[in-house]
Amino acid sequence: MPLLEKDHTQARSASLNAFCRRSILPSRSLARLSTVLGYDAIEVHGVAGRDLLVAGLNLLALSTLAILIAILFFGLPLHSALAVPVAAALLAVLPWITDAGSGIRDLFDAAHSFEIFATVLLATGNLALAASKAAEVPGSASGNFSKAVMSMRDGVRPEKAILQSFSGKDICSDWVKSAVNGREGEISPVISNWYNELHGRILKAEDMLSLLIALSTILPIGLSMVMAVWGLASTPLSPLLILAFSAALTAIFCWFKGLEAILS
Amino acid sequence: MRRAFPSPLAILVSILVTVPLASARGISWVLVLPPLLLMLDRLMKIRGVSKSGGSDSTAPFLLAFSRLLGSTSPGEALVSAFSTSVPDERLLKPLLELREGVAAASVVRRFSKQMHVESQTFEAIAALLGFDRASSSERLRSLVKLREDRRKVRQDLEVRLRAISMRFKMLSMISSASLAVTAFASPILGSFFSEQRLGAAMGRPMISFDFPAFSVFYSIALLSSYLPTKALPHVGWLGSALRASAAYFVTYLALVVAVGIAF
Repeated sequence: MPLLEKDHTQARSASLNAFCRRSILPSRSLARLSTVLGYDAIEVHGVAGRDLLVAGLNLLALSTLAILIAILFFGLPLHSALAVPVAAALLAVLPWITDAGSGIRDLFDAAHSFEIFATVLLATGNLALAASKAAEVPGSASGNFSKAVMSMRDGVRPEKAILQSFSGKDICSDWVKSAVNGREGEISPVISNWYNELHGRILKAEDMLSLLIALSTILPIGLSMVMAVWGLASTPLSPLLILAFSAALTAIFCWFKGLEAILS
Repeated sequence: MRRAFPSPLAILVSILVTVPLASARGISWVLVLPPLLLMLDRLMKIRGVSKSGGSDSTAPFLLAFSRLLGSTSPGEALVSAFSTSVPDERLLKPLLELREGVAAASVVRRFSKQMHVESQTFEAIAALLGFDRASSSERLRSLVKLREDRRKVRQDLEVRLRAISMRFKMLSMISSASLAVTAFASPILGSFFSEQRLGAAMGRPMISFDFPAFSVFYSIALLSSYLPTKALPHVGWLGSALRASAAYFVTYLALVVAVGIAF
């Protein structure tokens, strides 16, 4: 097994063990669950995603236990227990819908880093110095610049190190390529294009937020009409419908978040 | 399980939904709903878009400095720019070092140590001052223009978000009022499609308080006014919930009074 792959497997295993320790479920069932859910999907969402999943799994385990006790000892009807599959479905589906991606705020932060990078690069012509200065600006792009600086210290050519550290980063990658290739010329047009792109994303985000707000207005009225007409308000189905409504709104939001990466 | 406690709104909604069931069935929902709503709440947790606005106090200073740099020496340009706009009081001390013969580039580098947010910008400007005057001025102006572009884009985002937030505030109140109307008309609406419910409605007075419908639709109004606040930076969840509650109660009361007067 190649060294890098081995390290990655070990890191994954250590991370999974840490994840298992924080859950009240047995580690074997968690390991099986993580295989079913796709461990990488859990890993992608970072610390916040893992916290959410641990909290969710713990709550799901407690809810299942509570429902079982309620059905066995208090003779509750089975449809009350429908909440458990609903919760399971939420847990299984939503982490996939939610996608990390770069947010608008991240793009703003990155824009600041790139301004500094471009200015130092123009002033000194020194890629390593420009990258190290940009790495000091707080924001999402500083990690990539730091990575590039580390690669340069390991002997990688500055151009290659910078391009490698931003490879696959969509808009950032294009920008860095233009900046590195055109450092002798004018960088302003490149940054202006960046702002045009950012503006485009803001317009899309605005459309999506407007749609979310419209849906959050229309959906409850539709739901209430259905419940009133069918007389569901005083039946045990009403909590389930309300839960489904909340889940639908959250799913739409998460879908937007994943689709356009409105926010990280 | 860090910070994994149910939000007060989740508990309130759970109570509102489960109380009308008025039986042991409700207990299971009290157990299940708060955790589920908490999960949804966590999924929608976001960072504010507009919180990292950066410092705009340096913009007029940098603009003045870039303009003056073309016609005067860097030291004079710094002093004149300072007289136009003072970005930070702490920068006065390093500025006075110009009188002791310290180079303008060194003074700007010292500025960077005083400014936490903009330190890299001042470092970059110090590097730019190493060029000849015309070239420094031109490049600095280009940097200032870029910062101005960034500020404009951010302002544009702010304005759009504020407009959306305002739209949401109004729509959420309209939605809550509509839900109150549906809650009030719930027995009548239900009777259109069921003979059993029609019989029950006929036997009741015109104004009857349908508690289950009132409670359940109020919880929907609360949820629909709360969840989108997670995506909007300028709307607080408490304010939104209070606005929705006020619209809901006022509309319901207005209907009771209006129908009471009419019949």
